[in-house]
Amino acid sequence: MKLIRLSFQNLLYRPLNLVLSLLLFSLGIGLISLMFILNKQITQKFENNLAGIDLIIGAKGSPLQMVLNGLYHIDAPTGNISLKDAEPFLNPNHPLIKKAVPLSLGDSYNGFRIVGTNLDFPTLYNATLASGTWWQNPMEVTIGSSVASLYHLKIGDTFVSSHGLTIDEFNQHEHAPYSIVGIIKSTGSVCDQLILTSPESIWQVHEHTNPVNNTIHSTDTLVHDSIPIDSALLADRQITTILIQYKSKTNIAALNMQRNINQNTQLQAATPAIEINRLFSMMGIGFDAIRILAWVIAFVSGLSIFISLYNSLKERRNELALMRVMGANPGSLFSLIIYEGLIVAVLGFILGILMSHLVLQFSAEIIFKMYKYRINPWRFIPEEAGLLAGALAIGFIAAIIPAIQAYRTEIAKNMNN
Amino acid sequence: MLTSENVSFKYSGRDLIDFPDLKLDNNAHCLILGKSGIGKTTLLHILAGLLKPTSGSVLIDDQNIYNFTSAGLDFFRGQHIGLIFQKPYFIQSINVSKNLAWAQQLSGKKPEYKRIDELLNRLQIQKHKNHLPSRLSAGEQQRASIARALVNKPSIILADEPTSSLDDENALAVVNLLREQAEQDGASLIIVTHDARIKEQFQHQIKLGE
Repeated sequence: MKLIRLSFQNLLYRPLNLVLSLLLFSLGIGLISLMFILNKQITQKFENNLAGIDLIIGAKGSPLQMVLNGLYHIDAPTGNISLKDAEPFLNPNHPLIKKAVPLSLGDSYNGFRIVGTNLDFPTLYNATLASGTWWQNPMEVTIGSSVASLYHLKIGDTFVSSHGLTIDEFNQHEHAPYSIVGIIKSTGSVCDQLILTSPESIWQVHEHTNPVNNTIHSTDTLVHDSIPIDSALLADRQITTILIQYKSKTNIAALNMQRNINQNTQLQAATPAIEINRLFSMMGIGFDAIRILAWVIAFVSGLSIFISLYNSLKERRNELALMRVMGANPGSLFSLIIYEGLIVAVLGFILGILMSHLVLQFSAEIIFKMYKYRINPWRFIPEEAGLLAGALAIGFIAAIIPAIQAYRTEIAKNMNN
Repeated sequence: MLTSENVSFKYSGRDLIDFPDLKLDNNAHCLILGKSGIGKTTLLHILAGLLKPTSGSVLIDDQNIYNFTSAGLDFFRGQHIGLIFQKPYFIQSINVSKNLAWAQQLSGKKPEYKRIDELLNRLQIQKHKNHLPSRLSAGEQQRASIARALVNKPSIILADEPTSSLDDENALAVVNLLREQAEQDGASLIIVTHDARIKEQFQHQIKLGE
């Protein structure tokens, strides 16, 4: 359509107005799309990583922290539990439990967490081997695909672990290197970011140090953050948490198990889905605030399109009347102005989407460094198509009053000098 | 050919203005004179199909232009009537040549760049072809608006005070140019003015308000 080209020329003729409108519009669209994408990808990540776990058991503390630590590997442990306390739940003949996977956590390699567990753990994530074998002997590890690709690790390589989840040169277990025996195929879950080994490896790493000096030993336990541990317990073997799948999710006895554990034992049990929903609703407040801000910006940008069209129309009265003189009917003038609004909306939309994905591209690295979560910055979601519809609606609404004015242009009045 | 009969117009709250009948053959020229506020521009707008008269009829090329629908009249005006205003108006965002092309497109024709170049040459503004209208001087702008009025080969050209903002020399030049160009394209020319400087140039004169 020739009119669209003229609309475009008219917009280009007032570059400052155009830039301001585009800037505001793309900012609004960009923020909203960023919200949509982050919300969706983070929610999906969290839900994927639930891995069908119905209950998580660990040391008393914050249940949310326990879930973030035990299932998502982004927080420190609440503490450790003695293997003796955990034993009943690990019994394969437990009437309510289908699968119970013990985890020993606390150490890491370059920010990637080392998990001491058994071979049930990879089955939770349907993980299969890309090469090599699963770990068998202490100090053998099978590593996730992200770990392997980021540090170009291959089978036969060795490394030493360090305390906690951060890289700490002064706090490394140099005496006890791990050796890689296998690499896991990418699963898209948290499993990609883990280093799997047997619990015995973890015990071995931590038990070597100065058996004569109990004080040093006690700083060298699996727990680095909280809870001083009774040194009598150190003789005992410890694990961090147990991940449990029920035989039946609707069994009342199974549902009561959580309350029983919390009331009658030294352990803490939590339902991951509930804790994660709690986390989402807390994050949701932040998301809501940004969402409101984004819509306010979108509204203001609509207003700026309206004002700039309205102002330019005042200057263009004669021009529009002239177009009528040259044979344009009122409908064409209406369309001319509507197109201007829509062009700003479409360009603003494209810029905004580009902006949000570029921001994701940059923050993907930061998110990965902080949480070891890979988000895909160039994955487009259906909500963005909905956003296009919203953008077009804003452009249309902003243009409609100026367009009606253009439609009503009276030639005689405006050509009367 | 243009004929107007019994045309009158009434602005709300003011007296009815009766206009004299007009009859103008092809290639004929005519000057409509009168004091400010007497209704010269009103008459011109009525003749151009921009303002529906309270009564009376306007025939251009044997068509009663106020029998058209509004869009039909816009279309007819684009094709048959060339209008020149006191101030030159343009679509500011596109160059001179495109302005002329749009004058053709809006009246339902295809742009004929040969015709456009020829006109710009005739009016000696060929060098401004690709310039935005705002870059032209006042005289050049007036000439560009004459070119635009002529581009569709209208049968009638209506000019509203085309000389009022020009100095003596340019005023005469523009009037001569208008007449010359109208004659070249075989169009009738009506100039509405209160400019005494150009009275001698036209034999056929109609005085309003007398």
